[in-house]
Parts: sequence; structure tokens; C-alpha cells
Amino acid sequence: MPGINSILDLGRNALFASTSAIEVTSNNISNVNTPGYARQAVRLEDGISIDYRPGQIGTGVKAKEVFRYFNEFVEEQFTGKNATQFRWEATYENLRSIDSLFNESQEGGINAAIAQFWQDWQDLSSHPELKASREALMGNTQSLISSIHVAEQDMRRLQNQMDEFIAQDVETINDLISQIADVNQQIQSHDVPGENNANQLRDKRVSLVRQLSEKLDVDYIDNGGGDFTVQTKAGHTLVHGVETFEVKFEAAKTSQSLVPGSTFDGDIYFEGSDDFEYTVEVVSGGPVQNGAGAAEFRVSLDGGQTWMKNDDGSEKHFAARPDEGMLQVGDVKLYFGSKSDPNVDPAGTLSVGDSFTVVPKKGLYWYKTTSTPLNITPQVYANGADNERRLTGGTLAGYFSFRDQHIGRYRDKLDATAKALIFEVNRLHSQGMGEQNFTTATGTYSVDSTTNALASNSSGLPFASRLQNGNIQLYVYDQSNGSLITSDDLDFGGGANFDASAHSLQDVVDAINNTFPGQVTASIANGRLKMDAAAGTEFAFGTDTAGLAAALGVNTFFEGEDARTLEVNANVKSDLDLIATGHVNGAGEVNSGDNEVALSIAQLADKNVAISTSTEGTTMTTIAKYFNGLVAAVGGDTSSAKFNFEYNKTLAKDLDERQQETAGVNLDEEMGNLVKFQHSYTAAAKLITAADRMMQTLLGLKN
Amino acid sequence: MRVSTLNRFNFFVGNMNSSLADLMELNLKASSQKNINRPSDDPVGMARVLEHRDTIASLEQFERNVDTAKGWLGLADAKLTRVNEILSRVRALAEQAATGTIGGDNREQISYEARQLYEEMIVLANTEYEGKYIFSGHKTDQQAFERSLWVTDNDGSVSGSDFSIAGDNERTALVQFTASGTVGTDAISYRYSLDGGKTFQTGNIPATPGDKTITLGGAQLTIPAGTSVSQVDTSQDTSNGNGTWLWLRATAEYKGDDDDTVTVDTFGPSNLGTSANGLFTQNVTVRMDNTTTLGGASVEYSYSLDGGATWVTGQTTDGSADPNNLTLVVPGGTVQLSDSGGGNAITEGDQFVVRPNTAAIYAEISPGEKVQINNIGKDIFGGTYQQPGDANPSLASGLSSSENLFDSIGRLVGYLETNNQQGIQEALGDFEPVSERIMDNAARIGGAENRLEVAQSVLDSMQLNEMERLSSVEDADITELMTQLSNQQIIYETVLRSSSMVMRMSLANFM
Repeated sequence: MPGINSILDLGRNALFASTSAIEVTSNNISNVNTPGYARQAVRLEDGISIDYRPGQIGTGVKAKEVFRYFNEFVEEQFTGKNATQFRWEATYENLRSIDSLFNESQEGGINAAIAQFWQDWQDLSSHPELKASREALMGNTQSLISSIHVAEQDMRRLQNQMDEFIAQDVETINDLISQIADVNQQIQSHDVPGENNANQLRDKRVSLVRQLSEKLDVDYIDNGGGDFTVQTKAGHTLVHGVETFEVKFEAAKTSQSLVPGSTFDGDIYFEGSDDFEYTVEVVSGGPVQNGAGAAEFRVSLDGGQTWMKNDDGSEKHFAARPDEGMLQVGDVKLYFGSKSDPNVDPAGTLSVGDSFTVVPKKGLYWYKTTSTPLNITPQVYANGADNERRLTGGTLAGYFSFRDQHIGRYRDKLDATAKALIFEVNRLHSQGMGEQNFTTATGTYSVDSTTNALASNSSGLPFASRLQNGNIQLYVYDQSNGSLITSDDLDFGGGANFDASAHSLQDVVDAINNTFPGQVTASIANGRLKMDAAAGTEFAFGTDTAGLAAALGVNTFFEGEDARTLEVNANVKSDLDLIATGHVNGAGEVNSGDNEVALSIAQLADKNVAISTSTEGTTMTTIAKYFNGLVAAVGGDTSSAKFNFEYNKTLAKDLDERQQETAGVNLDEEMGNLVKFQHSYTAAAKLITAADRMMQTLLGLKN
Repeated sequence: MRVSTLNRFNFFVGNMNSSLADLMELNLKASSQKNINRPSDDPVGMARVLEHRDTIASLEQFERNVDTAKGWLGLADAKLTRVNEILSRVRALAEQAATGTIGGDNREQISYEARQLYEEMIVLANTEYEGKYIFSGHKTDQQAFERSLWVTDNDGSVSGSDFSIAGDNERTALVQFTASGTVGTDAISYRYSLDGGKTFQTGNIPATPGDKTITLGGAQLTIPAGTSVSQVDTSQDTSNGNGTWLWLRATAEYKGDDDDTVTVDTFGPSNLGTSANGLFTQNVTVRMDNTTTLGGASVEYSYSLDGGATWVTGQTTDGSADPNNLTLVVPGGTVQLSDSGGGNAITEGDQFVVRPNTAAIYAEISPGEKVQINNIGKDIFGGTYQQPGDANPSLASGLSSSENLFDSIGRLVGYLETNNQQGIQEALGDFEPVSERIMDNAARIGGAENRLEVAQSVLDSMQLNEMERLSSVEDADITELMTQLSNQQIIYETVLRSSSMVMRMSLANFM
């Protein structure tokens, strides 16, 4: 019923509505710079109308609810893009360190040191008799080695740093997961849609999800209220309402997946570490044991997309245990058997299709229950595509791909460079002679087993695969006058040559002792070949078609097997006369002006040699060009990471701006609103005054 | 579009940052004057820069090698020219001494000068470059030639035997046998003179079995058993047809290195006979790739020039023409395999290593191109040479006795010192071929020097070319850079100006 009372009532409602609007506006103005704050507004509704004469009359305004401006559609896109942006940001920021590590644009990097190394051999070939040439070669070789070491150490340091970053991120992630679950619970209890909106809690949840999307790629499903699910892009649930799941950063481990009916009852073990995952798949069934009938398997370094190949391009198959001991596959040693003893035969037989995964590095695992870890470590296939069933976004993906795919690959390439340098130089050097003969010589490479064939995968020799069938010529001299006593190739029984796939280190020792009885005595010391000349004699090395001297590390220039262990042979370092420049010529003499070996080592600079990594196979190129390729790869990766980062940043920024268009506070607008609601407040107050006057007028009639 | 306040400020900051970053990048390029300051600036360009740098470094090295080679060869050239001058003087002396108009005293005077010239020849042949003997082959730490003695006789009885000499004499010793007989069987008397035939001393070879050593002043000559000598009529002065006359006269022994012989080592159980022919300059390894016989229609083999590190595979030859001999062609020459009584089977995996005597020192003057910088003294100067494995020296092989400088000059000195006009006349005839040989070698060395000149100018132009290409990849274009820099500066200032203008605007200013 219209009347003064209802005008008062109407004025009161209007005052209340204006006050709440001003309050919300004030809140907006206060939070203009608060990250994650979405601007709010009061939804005003006109009150119900009452049927009356002269017709329906409204009952004023109602402040229905406080709602927030927020674009759910844009937010969902932003969450995905944010993860990609952070992945590339992490990759780019870290690659910049490598970019400057391999910055050869200023002179004085590894490339310059390699060039200097070849030049020193040229100089030595011009002056083989000059001590100074040898000193210069040794000095510059040391700087080459130390620059390779520095690069290698820095890369390893960065990898360790990544491990720390990842561990911190994982901690943050688990924390965010439980916070989101908490917020879900609070929203559940406070939120009444359309009446009591938990705006602030929702803002908080949005910013938590945004923080989570910086660390890893997430999707979320909002079913309203506290029914809010967050999962990775690959579908691993992290939060479901108030339920939480955990990710863990854990040490190297193996897993197996046997085909139904497989009787194999054992496990795979490994030694060593690598930046790639080894997928082992059985291709022909059988027991794990020595000899015929044993199982064979193939190995993939990218989760089964591509398989390791032989030099001729065919798929490489490994016998489960060709000889006693472990099996060198890529950078790790694999074995079935028992953890402590690789020679134990496991029960049962392997069936075709049985597969094992060896993760010889720290990886990321998602725990569905407390006992079933699932490997979600980011993985990149050989073609550069991501494994979509693993993490693909966020800083974690960036750190992991930097650690494994980038540094892992660079380290492989640097190792391959060092390996090629070591072996190619040693191969020539070991067939030459310096200024003095040997009375004793000890190899630098040791074998795991003295009875396994030297070229087998389980010999333990780093350069086993480079051995060939052939022989080596040795010369024995009289120490007193330097005259040649005898020269011969080694006799492996009946005059036979060395057979790389059959003869062991023990056979080599026996052959030396058989061929030069009473002159040269060979023995095995710590798995290494040791040769001693009888009193009054000394020996020299000649043509070595088998590569035995280089593979066993006698009469070599370098020792070590990769970038980390690369060193000058300790014997050569302590006695520069052992640097081979000449060779034993047809007359059985080593002459001081002979520069043949020095010259042929110098010519390695332009020689295409086979350089291989387990991930990329074999390339024929010069050592310097291969290294230049590494520099270009680092540069290319950095610039593409930069491009991806900037591109995704622009996209993410654009989406964020679109969200800001909706949710952001505009002070001018709020100022306008303030004036607007201030005026409506004044007007509402006038209503009260008017009603008051009317009431006074009415009451005044009585007097 | 709705613009939030936060949007506005983020926008300003973002714009300022990005244009400032661009400005800093240009500034870096300006200060380094380079387009490529880190690998990521231009990964492909970076690889090219490194490759150009590698090439330039190796070109510089080749230039240094050319310099070294020039030093060796220039010196050898100069010394050979000097040798030729001395040869002319020796010839003039010989011609003078060969005439009948001068007497024994004059010949003796001439002989002193000739001996000095012989000594000088040895000094020239022992020329050193940077402390290395340039005519010694690989034995650069040993004098190429040492003064030594050799035997000349008139009937070939002793000089044709396997004699040996120890010790040395100032002047030529002349020996005349005064009885005929066979060494080791008969007692033989002789007389000898150490002063050119003015005075004689006598001696006796006893009739006991075995080689016999006679002492002639400071030298000892060992004549092998079985050598027959005949009696000289000492009243006759002529030497020919009058018994056995010996001159123990000067020569020079080559102490350096030769590249005459090639050894072939067999790796593995093969019983085949092996030899190699050709001009091998390095070890060559041959591997048989199928099991067959020497007469096989298709014998497969591979060879390697780096001791088996890399193989050149797929060589085949047809041996069906001769079941007992097979010739394999390899770089540098051929390898002969033959049935030496152990059958003619070839087993897959048999390996043969051709191991030549090497004496040449090479310098690399451009990729893969090598030039020999030293010389093998005996092939130029002759003299005597004790091959590795031989018991005694013999006249240098590979050149005839009349081309043998030290032998010719030694004989001349010997005849001069013993006043033998006929011998001098004979010796005179040798100087033409000796001189030619020296000239030929000088011409060969001169040719190599010309090659060096050509190589150097090629290297220079290649280096210039590489530098230009490096510069075009790596160096910044200053004009372009400066234009970009000032352009970027304007952009940055504009951003600052417009931002500060918009930032000040607010509704509050008008309320």
C-alpha cells in the first residue's frame, strides 16, 4: 500500500544499495594494484511491484549480490598458454648460460684451441727435433683440455642446478596442490551462488592455479563451488575437490612390463648414469645366459620411437648376456641377474615383447596411490616432438628439457668430439715413435674381464668397437747400441692374426710372450696391458692394423674416454720425448728428422672422421667442424627458445590483457561510479527527508 | 575495449623495456663492431665464422710451412751452386795437371789445392739449417758425409772384392805388390809409399788362411782371402798392365738415410713370398678380402695409408694369368705376392705391410700438397754408403761411378797426389757427368722453390679472400648500424614522451 511509510522504506533500501555500491567501489579502488583481484560490482534489482491504483508501483531497489567480473573462457586459455610461456622462459633463461659458455664469437674458445692444436703438430713436423716445439704442443694441448673440461664442468654444474630448481618447484607444486584443496573446501562452505558469492576465495583459487600453471601444464574443470578439478594436460589429476595427489622428484629407477605369459622372474639392473631413458625391448625370446639361445633385445633412447642402430644403419640387437659381466649400452652398463652379481642367471625366460625401462637419472613421478609411481619426466623424441603422455609445460618441462635434451645432447656431442680427438690422434700416434724406445709400457685403458673378447660389448674398453682384425708389428732393439734385434707381428697361435671378436686381453698377453720370448714380457696389471723389455733390450711400436695399441692405450698421446676424463697420457706428459713424430722405417730405424707421424696427425685437421653419439648415430666430418656444429646447435636452440619464449609470452600477455579488460579496475571508471553512487545516495537521503517532511506535514494537520 | 588502470601501466613498462632492449642490443653491436656477438645471434653465421677462422688459421700455418720449406730449399740451392763453382775450379786444376808439360812438383802443388777443395765439398755437403743437416735424409742430427778412404786399383783385383778400410791418412797411399799370389794362400810381398811415390816402405802378407790386413800409415786395409794380385815391375813407371797397383785415396762416406729399399711384413699365417716395387713414401697396408689363390680370377683386397684406421675397399684384380705370382696395385707402386714353396693360397684377412725406407722430410704447403724439403746426400754427391744390414760400405748405389762426385774427386786427388798423369786424364772425363748431376739436382730444387712461390701467392690470395668472407659474415655494417641506432633512439624517446603524457591523465585531475 503506497504511503509515506513505503517511501521511507524505499529510501532506506536505496540508501543501503548506494552504500553497498560505494563500499564495493571503494574496495575496487583500494585493490587497483592487487594482483589477481577481479573487480566487483553490486547487482541491483528493482523491488517487486505491487498491484494498486493507479497501477503497479515499484518498491524500490534491492542490492541482490556482490559479483566479480571474470572471463572464465579467457582464463582457461591463459592457463595453458602460461605453462608454455614459462616452459620456454625457463629453457631460454638457462640456455643463455650455455650460449655464453660456447660463445666463440670472441677468439679463444675451444674451436681456437683445436685449431692451435693442429698447428702445433704442423710446427712439430717442421721441427721434430726441437724441444720447444714439444713444449709448445704440450702447453697448448693442456689449454685445449682445460677449456673442454671447463665447458663440461659448467654443463654438469648447470645440470645439478636444474636438479635443485626442480626439487624446489616440486615442493612448491605439492604446496599449491594442498592450498587449492583448502580453498575448495572453504568455497564449499561459504559459497551460495547468486546470494553469497565467495569472490575473494575464487580470486585466490585463480591465482593459485595460475601459479601452478607456471610450474607445469594444467587443465582445470570447474563444476561449480568446491567441485573443482586440476589435472596435468596429460590427464594426471592433481586436485579433485578436497582430494590431493602428489608429484615426487626421485632417484634413478627401473621398471618392467612383461607380456602375458612371460615367465621371466628377475629384473634389469644398471650401472652409470645418462640423460636419456633406455627402453629395452626383447626381440627374440630365451634365457639370460651365456652362449647360444640367449634372448636378444633392442634399445631405444626416446621411449621406443627410434631404436639404436649399427654403423651400417641396421637395428642394433644386443644379446642378453654375450659374455660374463655387464653389457655396455650407450653410456650405461646393463645386466639382468641380481643387483650384486651380474653373472647370476635369473629364473624364467624372456619373451618377445617384454620391455624394461631404465631411467638412469633423477626423474619426476606422479603418485596415483602411495605405491604406484608413474613416470611423468618430460621426454622429447628423436624428431623433436614432445611425449604427450608426460609433462610438456611449465618451468618443470623447461628445466627437464634443458637438463636432459639440451645439456644432455651437448654433453654427448662434446664427449663425441673428445672421443674422436682421443682415438684418431692415438690411432696414428700409437704407430709412431718419439725420440726414445720403450723399456716398459703400460696401457691406460683397463678391461672388465681379461677373458672376454676385446671388441665385445662387455669387455669394458671404451674404444672396443674401434678394434679390427689385424695385427701389430713390434721391434726389439739392443739397448746398448740401438741395433735392431728382431721385429715381428704378434702370433695368436699358428701365426694367426688378432681376431677382435674372439681374442681377449689374456690372448694378447700370451701372443706377445709367445712372439718375443725372453725379449718382451707382457702381463696384466689392474686390467691393463703391461709390457716390459728384458734387461738390455728395448722395444718400439710399428704398424698396427688392429688398433690394439690405441684401444689398450699404449704409446698413445691422450688418455681418457670422454670430455670429462680427457687428459694427455701421463707418460707423455712426464717425458716429452715420447711424443711420436716419426716411425720405424723400412730399415728398422727411427730417425730424428722423420716427421711422418707428426704430419699425419696435423693432417687430421682436414680429415673426415667417424664421430658418433648414441642418440644421433654416426657422422663423417672433421673434428673442428663437428664442434662448430655443436656451437651452431647451441646457438640455434637458444635463438629458437628465445623465439618460442617471446611468441608465447606475447600470446599469454594478450590473454592476460583480455582478462584484465574484464576483471581489471579502471580508476576513472570507479571515480565515475563513486560520483554516481554518491549522487544516488544523496538522492535517497532526500527521499527520507521528503518522507520526513510529508510526515511532519501530516502530523501538523492535527494542530 | 575496456582499459584497466593496471593494463595501462603494464603497457607503458612493457613498451619501454622492449624498445630499451633493442637499443642495448644495437649498442652492443656498435661497441663490438660485430653482427654476431653470441651463437644465438646467428647460429649458421656463427658456424661459418668458426669455419672461416679455422681455414685462416690453417692458411697461416701453411704460410709458415712455406717459409720453413723456403729456408731449407734456398739453402740447398745456394750450396749446390757453390759446389758447382768448386767443381769448375777442380776441373781447371785437373786439366792443368793432365798436360804433360808440367812436372811432378807442379802436380804436387796442384794436389794440395785439390785436396782443400775436396775438404770444402764435404763441408758443403754437411750444410745445416737450424741445426739440421739438410743432405742427411731423416738423420738430420748426423753429418751427411764423413771423410773416408777408398781403394782404386788398376786391374780391379782389390776394388772388386769385399775389402774394408779402417783409419785415415793425410795423403793418398800407393801400394805395389812385388809378388803375385792369392791372399790367404800365398805369401805376398808389397811396397807402399805415403808421399806420392818418393819413398817406399815394404811389407809382407803371410801365407796363413783368412782375410789379411795391411797397415798403410794410419790406415788399415783388409783384403779378403781369395783375392789374387799380380807382381809389379817397380822399374817401370806406367801403371796399366804392370801388376797390381793400389791407391788408398780419399772419398766421403754417406752417414745419412736412404729411401732405396722397401720391406714387406706379413701379418698372419700367410706363407706367400712378398716384395714391393715403386716409389713408396709411407707405409701402405694391404688386406686380402676373400679366400682364393694367387691364380684366382677375382682377388679382392683393400689398402690403408694410415695403418688400418681407414681402408680403401673394393679393389679387385684378376690373377688367372699366372697361378704363382700376383701383382696388387696400391698407391705408390705395386705389391708382388708369389708362391715361394709354401703354396699359393690367399686367406681372407691376410695382411701385408709395405714398409719403405724413408728419408724425405715433407712440409705441407696447402691441404694435402706436400713438398720435400730435405735431400738425400748420396743421391746427389755419391760417395760410399754402408746400407743398413751391410757389413762394409760400398759405392753409393743408384748412380754410376762417373756421376759420383766424391768418388771422382777422390780419385783425382789420389792420382794428383801420386803424380799419375794418365789417371788424371781418366778422372777428368768424369767431371762432365758429375757436374750435370749437381746441376740436375739444383734444377729440381729450384723447381720446388718455384712451386713454393706459386703456393705462397695462392695462399696469400686465399687468405685475403677468407678474411673478406669472414668479415662479410661477422662484421657489422657501420653505416647501417648507425642509422638503426639513431632510429631506435628516436623510438625510445617517443615511447618515453607519449607514456609520460598518457600516464599523467586521470579523471581526478578534473574533479
